[in-house]
Amino acid sequence: MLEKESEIISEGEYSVASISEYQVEMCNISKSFAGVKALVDVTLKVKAGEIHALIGENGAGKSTLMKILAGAQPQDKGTIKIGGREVKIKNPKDGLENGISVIYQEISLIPDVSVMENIFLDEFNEKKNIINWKDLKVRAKKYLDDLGFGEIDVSEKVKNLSVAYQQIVEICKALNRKSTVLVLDEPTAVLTMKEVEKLFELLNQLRDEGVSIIYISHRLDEVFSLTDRITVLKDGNLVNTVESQSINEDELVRMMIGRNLDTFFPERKTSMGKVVLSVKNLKAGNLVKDISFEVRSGEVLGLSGLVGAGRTEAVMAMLGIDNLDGGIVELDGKKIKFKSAKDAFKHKIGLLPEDRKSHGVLLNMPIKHNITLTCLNNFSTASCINLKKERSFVNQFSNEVGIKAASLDNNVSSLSGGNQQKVALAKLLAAHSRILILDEPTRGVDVGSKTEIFKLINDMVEKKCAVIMISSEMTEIIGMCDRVIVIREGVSVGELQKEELSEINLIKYAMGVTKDESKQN
Amino acid sequence: MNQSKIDNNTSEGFLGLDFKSIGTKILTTYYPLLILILLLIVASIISPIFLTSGNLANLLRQQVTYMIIAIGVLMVMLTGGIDLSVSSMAGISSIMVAYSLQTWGLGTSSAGLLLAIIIGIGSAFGIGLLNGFLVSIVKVPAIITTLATMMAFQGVGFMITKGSTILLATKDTGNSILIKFGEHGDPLLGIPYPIYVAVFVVVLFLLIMKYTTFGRLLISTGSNEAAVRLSGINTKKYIFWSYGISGILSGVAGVIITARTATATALTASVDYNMTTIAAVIIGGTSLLGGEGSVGFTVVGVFIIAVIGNIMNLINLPTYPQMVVKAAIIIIAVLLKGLTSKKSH
Repeated sequence: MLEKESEIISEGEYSVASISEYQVEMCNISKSFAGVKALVDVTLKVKAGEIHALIGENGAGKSTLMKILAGAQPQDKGTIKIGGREVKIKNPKDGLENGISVIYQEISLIPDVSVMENIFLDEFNEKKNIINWKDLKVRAKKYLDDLGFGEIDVSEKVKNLSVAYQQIVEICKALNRKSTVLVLDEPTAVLTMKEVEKLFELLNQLRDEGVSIIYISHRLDEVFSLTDRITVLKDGNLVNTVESQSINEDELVRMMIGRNLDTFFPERKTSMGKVVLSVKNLKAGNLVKDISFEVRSGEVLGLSGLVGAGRTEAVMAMLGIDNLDGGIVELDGKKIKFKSAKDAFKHKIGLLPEDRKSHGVLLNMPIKHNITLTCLNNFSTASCINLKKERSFVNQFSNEVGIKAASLDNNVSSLSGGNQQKVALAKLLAAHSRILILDEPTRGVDVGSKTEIFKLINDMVEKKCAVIMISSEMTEIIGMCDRVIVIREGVSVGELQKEELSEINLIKYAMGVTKDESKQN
Repeated sequence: MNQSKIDNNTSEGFLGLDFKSIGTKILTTYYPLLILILLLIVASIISPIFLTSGNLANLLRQQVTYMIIAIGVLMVMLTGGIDLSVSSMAGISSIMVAYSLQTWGLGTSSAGLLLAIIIGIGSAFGIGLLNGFLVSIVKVPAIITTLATMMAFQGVGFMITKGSTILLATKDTGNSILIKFGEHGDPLLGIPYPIYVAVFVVVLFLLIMKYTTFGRLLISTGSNEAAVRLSGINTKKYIFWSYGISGILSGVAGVIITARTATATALTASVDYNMTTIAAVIIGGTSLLGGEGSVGFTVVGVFIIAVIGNIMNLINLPTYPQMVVKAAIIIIAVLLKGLTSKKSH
């Protein structure tokens, strides 16, 4: 009934609205996941030929809003108009047909296939069955030349390109679809300065051609230099949409944060003990060149740096999960070499992996079995599990950790991201780990669960646990860590004490004080 | 993932949707049982002989070896692997028992029989451990490893028997005990001894999967090997031993085959045991990716195939068309599995 009505309205409005100045109008969009409100009544309007920044802290709802626009998720409420005409975007195909292309942080190209095939992948679907390779090559070359990236070899497999070039290929793919709306989700996070400049040139060129560009970024300097207007989201709510020229950085930050950081990051009593784990001159693979750090009991040590700086790799090598090529690892002042994750766990070191779904939890196993995975021996005699003991432990423990689930017998896949992460964390806590290594502990976690996860971490720290936290979110590093080691290109380049922690300091170290161009390719 | 979030969200509000999800849960979890019940009804309608105790006892007796082997295959598939060598392992076990009884003369005493059985099961166990070593340590893909050992030990079977059949001399003490074990039932209930073995194996593995850390960690390994490994658990151990178990159980089945027929031939190592047991495990709802499946439903899967076979026999369908039907069932089972699991996500 309701649907019918809105369809009629959209038909009626068509002639009037087609002269609308906006290419994209998302009106009063609301969305919630398992009771957690991700978006509340958010409106976003983007003009044709405009670069529009969408900013806010992680978890503010930017990605969810863009997923709705692309059709990756349906909205609960609200309408979307493209070119003044109301459209229903129910799946990614609808999104593409309406000219919307989203370039996600995780590149969605086919790695083992050449550049040109990736660009024209959509055509293979519809066009004749025989591929004209010559034509394909010429057209792909022309696209890249036009964009100023003639140096990319169109026959090269995508996996052999740098991330920056992969992004360019994605943009070409979007342009070939005749996309009128281009969404870029933090495209510069992994780019060098020079690559960023080139990308911006390209985006300006596209804007002049009338493409609407929605640009998600955490880097405020970029937002000011590149975009025409800015929309700020906070905790799923729209804060405001403003002209980029009419606002300064301070005002923007106030709009973004809008609340006291202290309440978001709960207080903890710190009383640090001895150094429990230290590494010196760690070397492993191509990404870890010279990393040193140490962590005390009762301390949260942050490992900060850009994505791909070698933080995760350093930790994996330290624990013996990946090969360690050089360096010294000391546990309680004694030299040690972990042979495997098992070995590290035996020494009460728990790892919360970066990729929750493939490394953190067993999605298709019950929540209770996930939690007791590491501590089955606690309620087993002669390898026989006492199911009653296990159940009562899980009931009590999941309460402590604050896992919200209809039943602990349900599979982990039924939980929200935040609760899944709590399960992964509970698994480590249940094993009585005394050193916790948390790799991006709040990635893909809603705001409410984030605070709860921080509380859990604090509880552990107060119990004399040593925590190493890897995070790409600077607010999180600043809010949670007692001390931070900044890693750049596989080298630990700086150490910041709690009082020195600020975004500017972190960025300065992470990016290198001088402009760095050695990362090309 | 996202889809399931949404499902959760909507089912909170409407009671109706909850009922629906209970319905789909029954359908997705218990569908093998529903199929078996349906087949039993169909069978009893098609043929009046089906429900006679003679036919049912026969049916049960025939399934003993398949059931035992299927449990082993299940263990391997729960870890995300596959074992194509069960037929060859059962064949080698069967041949080694007969060979050591006849050619090595172990058949003259009951102690010799015991040794022969140990040799038979032990050789199958050895092949299983070889599979486990290659898959878990050397990291050869399971399908290649077990395809290779299947071929190799089928060949070894022919080498030992020289292509002929080993007949057990019934007058020897050990031999006659073995044959009696295969053919007769216990004096108390008249139930054939091999059925006790099958029931013992099924119950044992039901308990292992439910109550032991080994069972829990084995299925966890199949669910997400990387996550379990990063939780400080030696996943190789579980992958290795799953093939070992498959070897032992195939070996046990091999002994029963020799006992029942009083002969051993390399033809036992035909692919029939592979196809039927793997099909049974899949029909029982086991995921090909590992981490999902149960002993109980594997038994149901064995009986689904058995009842279909029985129906085809009762309506006098010849052997070769039966093979076509069995093959079709495997495809349908996999499709059904895909269909139901899509519904649950």
